[in-house]
This record gives sequence, C-alpha cells and structure tokens, in this order.
Amino acid sequence: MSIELRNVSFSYAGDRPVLRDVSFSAEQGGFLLIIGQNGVGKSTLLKLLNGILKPTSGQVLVNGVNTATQPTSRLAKEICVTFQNPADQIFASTIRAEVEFGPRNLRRKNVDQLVDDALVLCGLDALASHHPYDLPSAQRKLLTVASAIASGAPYLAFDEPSAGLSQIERSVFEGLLTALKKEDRGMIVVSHDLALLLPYATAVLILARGEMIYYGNAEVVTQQDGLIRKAGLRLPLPYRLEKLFGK
Amino acid sequence: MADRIVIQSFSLQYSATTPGVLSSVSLDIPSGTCCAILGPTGAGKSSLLQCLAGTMQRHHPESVASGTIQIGERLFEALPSHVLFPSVGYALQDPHVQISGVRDTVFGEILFTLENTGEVPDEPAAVILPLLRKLGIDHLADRKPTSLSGGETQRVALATILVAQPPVLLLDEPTTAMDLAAQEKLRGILRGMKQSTTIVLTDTQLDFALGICDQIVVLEQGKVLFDGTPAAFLRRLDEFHTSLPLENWLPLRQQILRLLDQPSRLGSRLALTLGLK
Amino acid sequence: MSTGQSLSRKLALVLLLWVCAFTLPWTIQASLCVVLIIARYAVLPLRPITPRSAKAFSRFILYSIAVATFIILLNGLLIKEGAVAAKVFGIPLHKEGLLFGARTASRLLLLSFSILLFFVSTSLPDLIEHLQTKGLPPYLALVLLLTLHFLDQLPARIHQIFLAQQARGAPVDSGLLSRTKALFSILSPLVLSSIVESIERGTALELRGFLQRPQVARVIKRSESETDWLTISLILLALAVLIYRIVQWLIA
Repeated sequence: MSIELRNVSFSYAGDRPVLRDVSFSAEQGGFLLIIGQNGVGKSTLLKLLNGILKPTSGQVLVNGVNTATQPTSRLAKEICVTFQNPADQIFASTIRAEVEFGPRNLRRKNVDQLVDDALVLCGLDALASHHPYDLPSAQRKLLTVASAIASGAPYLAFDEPSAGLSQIERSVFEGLLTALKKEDRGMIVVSHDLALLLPYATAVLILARGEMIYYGNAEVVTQQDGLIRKAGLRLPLPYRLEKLFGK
Repeated sequence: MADRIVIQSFSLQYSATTPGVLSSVSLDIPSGTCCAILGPTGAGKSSLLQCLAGTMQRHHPESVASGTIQIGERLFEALPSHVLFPSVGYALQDPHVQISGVRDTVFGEILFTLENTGEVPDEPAAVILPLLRKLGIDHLADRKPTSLSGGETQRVALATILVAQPPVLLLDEPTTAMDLAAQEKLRGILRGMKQSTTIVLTDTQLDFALGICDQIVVLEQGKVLFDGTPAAFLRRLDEFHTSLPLENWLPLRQQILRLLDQPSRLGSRLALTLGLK
Repeated sequence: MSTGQSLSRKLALVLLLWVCAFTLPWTIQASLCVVLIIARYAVLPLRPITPRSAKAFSRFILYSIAVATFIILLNGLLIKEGAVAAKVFGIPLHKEGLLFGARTASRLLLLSFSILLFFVSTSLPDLIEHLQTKGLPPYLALVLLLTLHFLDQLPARIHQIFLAQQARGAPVDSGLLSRTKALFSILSPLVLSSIVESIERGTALELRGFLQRPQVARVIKRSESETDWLTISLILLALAVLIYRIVQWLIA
C-alpha cells in the first residue's frame, strides 16, 4: 500500500516542463517532506497526487491504481490533499459542519466519530459550534488540518501546514503528527518549516527547478549543507549553530 | 531622518466591555534601530502596530486607550485619530493584499503611492528605479504587479511603502511562508535601511529577528515580558519557552552562552551569526 | 490627447448613441451598429485594450447578431399583421412583425454595442481616476476599485476554491443534483473570503494614503486645459437629436 510516482513529468499546455522525471514512493506510517524554493513545482506535485492534474508522462499510482484513469472524487478516498490557503475551502457556518464535509462526501460510515477525533486532535473540540471566522487565522489553519484528518483517508498531503502557526498551535501540530504516525497514516508534506518538521520526516525529497536533486533519509540533509544550498535553501539557524559547535 | 518611538503606559481595549488587548505597555525604540516584537498569536502584536500606524481608532471607533505614543516629535494622547502615512509606513502580513492592481506595471504601482501623498517628483524614474535596484527588483519594473511570485510580490509591496521614505517602518510577520533564503535576502535589505528608518517588526519565532534586530520585546497577552538586547534575551531563553517556539534553541543555550562569554574566534563568529555585534 | 480628454469624448459618444437608440429610425440605428463594429478596428481610442477583452467583444457581436436574428424572426412569426413578407420552411413571416422585431433588435444592439465598446476600450482604473478629478469622493472610488479587483480575480479565485473542495471529495464531477449541492461549498468561501480580503485591501490602500489623495494629483497638460470642442460637440449633437425628436412628436 503506497503512493508512487514513476518517472513523472508535467508541463502545462504548451509551456516548458514544471516537473521532470520525478520518482518517489510514500508509505503508510511514513512522513515524506518535500522541500524546495517557491515556484519549483511543489504545488503542482501535490495536484498530481490526487488526480487534479494528470502527468504528461510517467505514472502516479495510488495503492496501485493509476490516477490517470480515476476522477479526483474517487481518489480523495485514498488521499486527502489540503492546500495552503484556508480561505479557499472554509465555507460552513460551524466548525463541526466544516470538518464533516469531507467524510460525508466520501460516504464514510462513522462520520461523527471521525469528526470528534479530528477535533480533539487539533484542539478544536471546545469550539465545534463556533463560526470558523471567529477563530484567529492560526487556528483556521488547524481547522483545515482537522478537515483532512476527519476525511479518513489513509494518506494526507499538506501544503505548508505550519505556516502562520504560533507556539501553541505548533505544539498541537507536533502532537497530531505523532498520533497520525500511530494510526499508520502516510503523510506527504510540502514545507519550508524545516525546524519543526525535519525531526519527524522519514524521507526527504528536494526539488530544484522541477528536478529531484535528492530523495532519501532526513539525516543526510542536515549533514550535507551543500545539498540544501544547491536547492537555493538554508538550514534553520539552530542546525547551523549545531554544526558550528560541532567544530 | 529616522524617528524615535516612545510608548508610555499604553493600554488598549477594543471596547469598554471587552478584556484588554494591551496592558500598560512601555517601550523606547531609539531612532535608526530595529525592534522585534515576538509573541504568540493573540499577544497583541498586530494591535500594537495598528495603534502606531493610526488605523486602530479609524477601524475600531469604540476602542478605549490610555497612555501616550510619541513618534518623532509628535505626541499622541492615547490613539492617533488618523492614518499616519507617510510618517509611518505599515507593511501588512499578506503582500498580495498590498498590491492595489490599480496600475498595470510595477513602476506605476509604486508611483501610485507618490500620487497619493501628492509628492510626485518631476522625474519619477529618478526616485523609483534606484529603490527597485536596492530591493533587487529593477528587472520587474514593467511587469504586471499581480503576476509576480510570492517573494517578488513581497518586495514590490515593500517598495510601495518605502518610496514615501517613512521615518518609521512597521512590518507585520514579514516571514510568513518565506523560505530561509528569501528571509536572508529580506534581512539584508532591512539592514541596509536601518540608518534612515526605525524598523519595528513582529514575529512568532526567534529565527528571523536574530541577526537583524537591536532590541527584542516579548509580548504575551498584552503584557511586555521582556525588553532588552538579543544577548540579554539569549541568557534568559528558558523563561519564554511557552510563548515562543524555542525547542530547537534551548538545547544550544548553554553552549551559546559559554561561547559568548569567552572571547574566542568561535565566539566572535557566533556573535556575528546571531547579529549580536 | 490626454486620458481625461479621451474618456470625456468616449462618454459623450456613448450618451449620443444612447439618445439615438431611443429617438432615431431603426435603419439608422442598425447602420450605427455597423459603424461601431468598424470603429472598433479603425478608431484607435475605441480599440480593446487587452487581447482578452478583444476576444470577448468579438464573441459578443456574434452572439448578439444571432439573438437579433432570432428576435426578428420570432416577431415576424407571432405578430400576424400586414402582408406576408417571406416564408421560412413554408411558415409565413409577416411584415409588421418583422419590422417590430427589427426595431427592438436594433435598439438592443446599439445600446449594448456602445456601452460594451466603451468598457473594453477603457482602462477602468483610469476611469475611476478621471471620475475622482471630476469630484467622485475618494471613499466611493475605493469601493469601485475594490469591486473591480474582485471581478478581475474572480475566475482564478473560483478555480482555486473548486480545486480545494474537489480535493476534499466534493462531488464536482458527478450528477447535476450533486453538483448543485457542491455549488454552495464553492460560493460560500468565495463570498466569505472576498469580504475579508476586501477589508484588508481597503486597509492597505488607506495605509498608502489613498483617502488623503489630492483631488487633482497629476500635472494638467497643456492640451487638457484647452477647451475640448469634440466632447462639447457630441453632447450638443445628442441634445439636438433629442430636441428634434420631441419637436417631431409634438407636431405629429
């Protein structure tokens, strides 16, 4: 059971390729962190995972099924992709109704249980009857995470899930990463927030100009500064200090 | 040219019946320096910036404030009643919102600010192009402002404020969704501006502020928990682990402090990296 | 010719054409429609300012001609007065009906062509700017600008929201009933987020001094300070046509 990309390339009609020959595999219980500069094709990659975009060449396989042959509404049962801007998806008048949307669409059997669990995990259970826009923007971000968890999909993909979260929400987020791993869910996360997420990553994929320049375990990334710099990125200051002290 | 900011015993409530947002805040930010106000969401950081920019009274007419705010020579009892631009420039958190879309080119978008202030020079290019060059976006002068990438939009949004040469610049969480390389670029730009502009920025994390700020203020639930130099802040790091995400810093704290206290090449390099010199 | 002059002239032309649409015979109205289509290519200030708007205008002309033909034929069919002017597949079309249809269609075409040509050939921010120099309050200008921006971003916004909801399993690619139910999940974020964003945009404009904007911000060029005879002539012509028609109606 996995999500696999096999030699996937993608270009928008008539344009130069956004992604070139990308291959990786995300397992259940694993955490794949995808990093790269803005504009390098990370959002496009996420849209390929649930069939919103079909690859120009190569294959995207969700549990062995080719996404090119499936509509997104069916693939959403296996993988829930959450985009960066909560304002693009929040529509309901209560937090509970918002989180219920996913599992109801996907006709899950135990919708109430899924919703309750997701709300508790994200620290939103006490606010279930509030309007989403009563929450500060950091908690609205967590609301989109709760919506994804409640969908019941075995794989969850997020675009910058920790952007805009402050200390309390970051602690909640770390807690739910641990819980999701225990549930054996597969996580695919696109993020700049190496400080928060690198410790949880079981695999890292580095994209530069649409190409994969690294795919492997996370330790190598912190040890080889050159790799990060090649992608036009920097390690967080604490990691660099550690290396400084190591000398 | 930069203005000093002095806030004395400033308190704020959104209305007489709601709990206080800011509680007896006193700050002294010398001119030509950078002050980083750090704290969790809801601490009152944005509210403080709105008070300094002059939008608080306008957007929340029922708000109740006490204390004084002094910006340069101007003293305000409680809240300024109107927007203080161009004396105070305020860059909002989302740079896309700052691009008005009223003009078709980046050059025109920046000129729009000068038209608003009524200070259009005879040769607008002589003022705008050097500014674009300083921010590394001169190649974008003829591009449509709404078609730029996130990092480019951020710098264009900054240019639309800086063109008016405000003595005070406020930045609301400028690093949201910015990768670290882009953050370093922004740090470089702000460092270059310090002489002519007093900068106040807010953030929920420590990383960006170190290396650029001369003063750190920690705000939580409207109260000032710390106000001092970055070096002094690092010594008291463990007091703030509930307010700020310091999980990566705390393990390094002892080593950092030991190195800073002992004169050594490594210590100097560290101080330079952290911007403590 | 400055932007302000160009705008005044175009507005005066639209006024004249609208007066003609309600006062002159349908044959002249139809001829004016043809003149407008030619002007869209021949007259520089009337050319569409973006390829997108040029395409939209051309498409609109084609659809309107189709609709006009339909209106004429339908009226010829239903209004059974006067001699039979023609037969379509053996069905008689009556002269009075056809004429009534022609009058209705030509009026609609002239009204819509003139206003649409104005908007595709005018930069709307320039228009708002021009209205401000003529006394439009800054606050109203702010509202118009925000509305314009909203409309401009609308297709992209809807697409983003569509993708976000589709990724949560919203039934956007199944039956009509399901898609109708999913519509709310697309419209609601659109409205909610637009309200929130408009507030922030308004604040951002305020923070750039927009509300303190001087009434006459730009240096007035020499040509603008000269009397704009063309605009005045167009307005006088519109008045003349109106008066002529009123007099005709009084005499008759």
